[in-house]
Amino acid sequence: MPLLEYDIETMLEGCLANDRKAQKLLYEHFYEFAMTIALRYSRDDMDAADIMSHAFVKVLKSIRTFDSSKGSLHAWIKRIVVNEGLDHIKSRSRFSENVELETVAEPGINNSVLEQMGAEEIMKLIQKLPPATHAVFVLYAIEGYNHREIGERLKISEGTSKWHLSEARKTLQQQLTQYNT
Amino acid sequence: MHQKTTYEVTITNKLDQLPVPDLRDAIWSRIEGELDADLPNDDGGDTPPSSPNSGNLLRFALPGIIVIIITLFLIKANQKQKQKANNKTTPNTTIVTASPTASPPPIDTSTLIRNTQIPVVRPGTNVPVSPMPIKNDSVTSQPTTVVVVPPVTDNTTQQAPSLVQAPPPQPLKTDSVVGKKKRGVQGITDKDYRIVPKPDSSRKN
Repeated sequence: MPLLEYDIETMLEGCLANDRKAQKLLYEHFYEFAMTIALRYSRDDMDAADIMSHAFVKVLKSIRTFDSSKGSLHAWIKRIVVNEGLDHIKSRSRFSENVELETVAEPGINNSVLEQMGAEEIMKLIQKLPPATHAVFVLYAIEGYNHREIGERLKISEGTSKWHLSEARKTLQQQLTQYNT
Repeated sequence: MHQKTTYEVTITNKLDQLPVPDLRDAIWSRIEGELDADLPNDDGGDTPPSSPNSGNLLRFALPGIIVIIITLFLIKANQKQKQKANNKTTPNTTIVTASPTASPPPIDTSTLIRNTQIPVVRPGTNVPVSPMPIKNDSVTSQPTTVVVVPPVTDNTTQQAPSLVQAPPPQPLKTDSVVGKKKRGVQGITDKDYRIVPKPDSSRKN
C-alpha cells in the first residue's frame, strides 16, 4: 500500500524526533527499493543485507540533512545505498589500477540470449565479475553513469573505467555463449 | 549519463524484476542495534542534533555551576582584601578583621583562625611568648601581635588601664651577627680580673 504524501511527512517528522516506530516505518517502506539496488553491488544475499543495514543506519542518523528542495527522498536514499554498495565492493579489492588506454575494444553482448535468461541468472553472472569490474559495469550499464563520472566516484581514470567495462562485456559474452550452447 | 545500449536496457529491466529476499526482520534488528548503540548524529550535517537528555542535564547543572563560580570568586576577593589589610598595618601590629560584605560569602573560618593567632601574655607570668606559625601568602612575613593584659586588681572600681602593646619579639636569626647571643656573665669587666695586693694592716713601721 503506497504511502500518501502527508504520511511521508509524518514519517519524516517522527524520524527527526528519533521515534523508533517512524524509523521502522520508513525502513519498511523503502526496503524493496533499496534491496534491489543493494543486490546489484553484492555477491550474495548476505552481502546485500550488510549493505542494507549500513545504508539505513546512515539514512536514519542523517535524516536531518535531507533537503526536499534539492531532490526526492527516493533519490537521496538511492545515493546512500549506492555509495554503501561501492564501499562494500572497495572493501574487497583496491581500485588502484591505472590502465591508460586510448582505444578500448567494445565487445558486443548477445541481447537475444539475455532476453531468454531469468533475472536471477543474469544477477549471478554479474556477481561473479571481479570487484572493480563489477562496480564499473553496474555503474555504467545499469545506473547509467559515464566514464568520467565513474572515475570521479571510484577515484580511477577514465581509461581504467573503460578497460573494466570492456573486460566485463568480454566475460559476460563468454558466459552467455556457454549458456546458449 | 550516457545513452544505454540494447543489452544494457535488457539487463536493467530484468534486474528490476528480480524478487528481493525477505530479510526485513534480520536487517532491522541490526539497524536497531546500531541506533541504540549510538545517539543519532548528523552524517555530514551542518549542525549536530542535541539529544533531549543532554539539554535537561545542562539546564539543571548550569545554575549549580554558576553558584560555585561565584562562590570561588568571592572567596578569592576576600583573601585579597585580607592581604591588603595586612600590608597596610604598622610593622608592630597586625590586625585581622573580617571585611563586611553585602552578602557574606561562606568564609573559611579555619583559615581565619589559623591566620590570627594572638597570644595573650599576663605580666608576672613566666610563660614564654613564642610567635605562632602564621600561614601567610605574602612575600614578607609579618610579625605577630602580642597583647599584654595587666593583672587583675582587687579594686574593681579602678578602671583597667588601656592595653599596652609590647614590642614584638625579635625573630631568631641564626646567620646574623647582630642577634648573636652574648657569652659569659654580664657585668664583669677586665678590671675585675686584675690582682691588686691588699695593704697589710698589721705592719707598723
